Amino acid sequence: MSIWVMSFRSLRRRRLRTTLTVLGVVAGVTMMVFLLALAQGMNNQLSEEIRQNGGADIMVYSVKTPAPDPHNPVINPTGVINESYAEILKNKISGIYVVSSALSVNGLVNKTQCTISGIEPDTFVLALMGTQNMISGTFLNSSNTNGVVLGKTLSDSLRAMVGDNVVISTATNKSQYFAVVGVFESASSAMNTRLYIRLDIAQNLSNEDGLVTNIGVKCTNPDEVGYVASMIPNEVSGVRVIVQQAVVEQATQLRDTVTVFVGAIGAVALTAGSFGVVNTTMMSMFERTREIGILKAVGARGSKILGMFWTEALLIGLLGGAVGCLTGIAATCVIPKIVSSMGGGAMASSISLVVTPTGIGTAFAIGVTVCVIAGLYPAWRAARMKTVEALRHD
Amino acid sequence: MIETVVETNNLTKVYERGKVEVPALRGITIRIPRGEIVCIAGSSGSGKTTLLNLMGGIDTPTSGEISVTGTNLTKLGQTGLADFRLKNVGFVFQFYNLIPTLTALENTEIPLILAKVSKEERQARSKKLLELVGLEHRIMHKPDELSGGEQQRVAIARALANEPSLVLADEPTGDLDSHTAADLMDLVTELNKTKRQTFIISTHDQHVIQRGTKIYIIKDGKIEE
Repeated sequence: MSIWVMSFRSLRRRRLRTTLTVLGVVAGVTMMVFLLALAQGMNNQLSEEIRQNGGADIMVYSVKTPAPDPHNPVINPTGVINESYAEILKNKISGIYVVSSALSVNGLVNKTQCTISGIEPDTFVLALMGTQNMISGTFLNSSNTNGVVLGKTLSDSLRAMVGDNVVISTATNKSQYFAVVGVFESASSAMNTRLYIRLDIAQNLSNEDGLVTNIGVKCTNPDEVGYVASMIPNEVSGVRVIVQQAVVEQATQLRDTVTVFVGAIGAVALTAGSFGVVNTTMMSMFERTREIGILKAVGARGSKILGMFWTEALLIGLLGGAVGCLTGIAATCVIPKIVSSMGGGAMASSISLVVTPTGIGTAFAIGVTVCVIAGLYPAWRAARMKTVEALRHD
Repeated sequence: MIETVVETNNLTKVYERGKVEVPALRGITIRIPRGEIVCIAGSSGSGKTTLLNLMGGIDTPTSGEISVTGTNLTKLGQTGLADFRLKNVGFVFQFYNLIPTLTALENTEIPLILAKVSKEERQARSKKLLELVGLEHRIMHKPDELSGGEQQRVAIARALANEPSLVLADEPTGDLDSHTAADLMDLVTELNKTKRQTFIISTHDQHVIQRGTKIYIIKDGKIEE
């Protein structure tokens, strides 16, 4: 029979009290698991929204492009870089979600001067443009060899609608007819003045085969933008890398807010739980004052008594932590269903709960640590109790 | 030469009850040789229990010296006293003081666990001791399943577990009927003869006093010869 067995039996003897304390810890840990899953879900959702809304995190231009001027944030790309750079970056640097190349050329559309953007339709919206509002028609897709999409400002000035034809000519004098397939409006006024066609067609029109003016890079995790940006010059040369600071700052700020919010709730939950543990351990100590006296009279050192009471707190923590993790996982499955069955369908589907091993591990570790710390004071009191006084206790 | 187990020199103990000082022992000087059954008799509040507590090292004197089996207890700290008790002293209390969650066998094992005796050995020794006190058929019972006399026997087995040279019993028959008390004293006399252990028993029971080989009467914190 070891110290563990003695502690375990003493907990078992006071079943009701032990159960209530363990439940206190379970409640705290459950809440932690749930909140951490909520925080992770919110994080993922935020990352996703930032990815969708904000355009590129990083822009890669030719080194000939001038550095950004704080008074005029619109960058006019100068010079070209190799189209293959996009694939190199995607393959060589971890943490890149998507890359998209574009070639901006000046040209005439129906004899009006404008910027023609050759783009990769599959990745353009995700990596470069962000959310846009289609006013009519559809956006380009990779099979649109003869289609163009117009920004709203350009469409208004050309008076060109979906279904109309436009004629495009560039410095290399190749004039070609294209059909307007869509008109959109973006938050960026510069984008609203442009015409969009497929990259290969733009390259063909301007005799710039295999070349692009800029590559947009979107990172998987907005926190890693700085790292990814710092890696780019190691992989490709002759480029100017510009980090979209505003996007990164917005992401970091949002995330910090969520973290602080969730952390505060978790701390409150566990503080409440830990008072329960202190209370039980203290009550258990008072109830067993005589027992402590007996053990000391028989020859138990103070450290042994400390160990016994501390072990009890640890057992409560381990049991409460383990059960709390399970109920926490169950709660993340059940609560969204309950919310949606109560008619909160839209709300429930907007909540995403993501349980991660790190989240569970954190909640468990915090639960056990709180119990161990909460058990320290009563254990110390028990260890210091005077033998004679403890024996006199009824 | 007769070996001395307990030796006290002008031992005093004063309790502080709030601002009032209550003297419990007022200068006790005694010498107890090995192998005796010493009875300390006296009325309630005379200082019997205090004297036993000092001899067992579970309380410390206000002044004076006390040596048990050659160890000066006044020089030991809390840990030193705990180790001293573990090796040299067995306690038997009036109300048995067994641990309610543990069986008779496990209660007997406690001092051996504390002394880090291996599981096999401590179980064998505990069973033998319980057999010695006549409880071989009750070893798996918990205290609340045992009678008062049986519980006190378990307490004696526990007190003897580490083979201490001194067994201190504070009113061991105080909660027992006269028949059971007589049986218990038979056991004490038997153990004293076979194991040559010194028993110091505080009591005001005349039947117990008669079984003692040496008797001290304590009154108002002083020994009366």
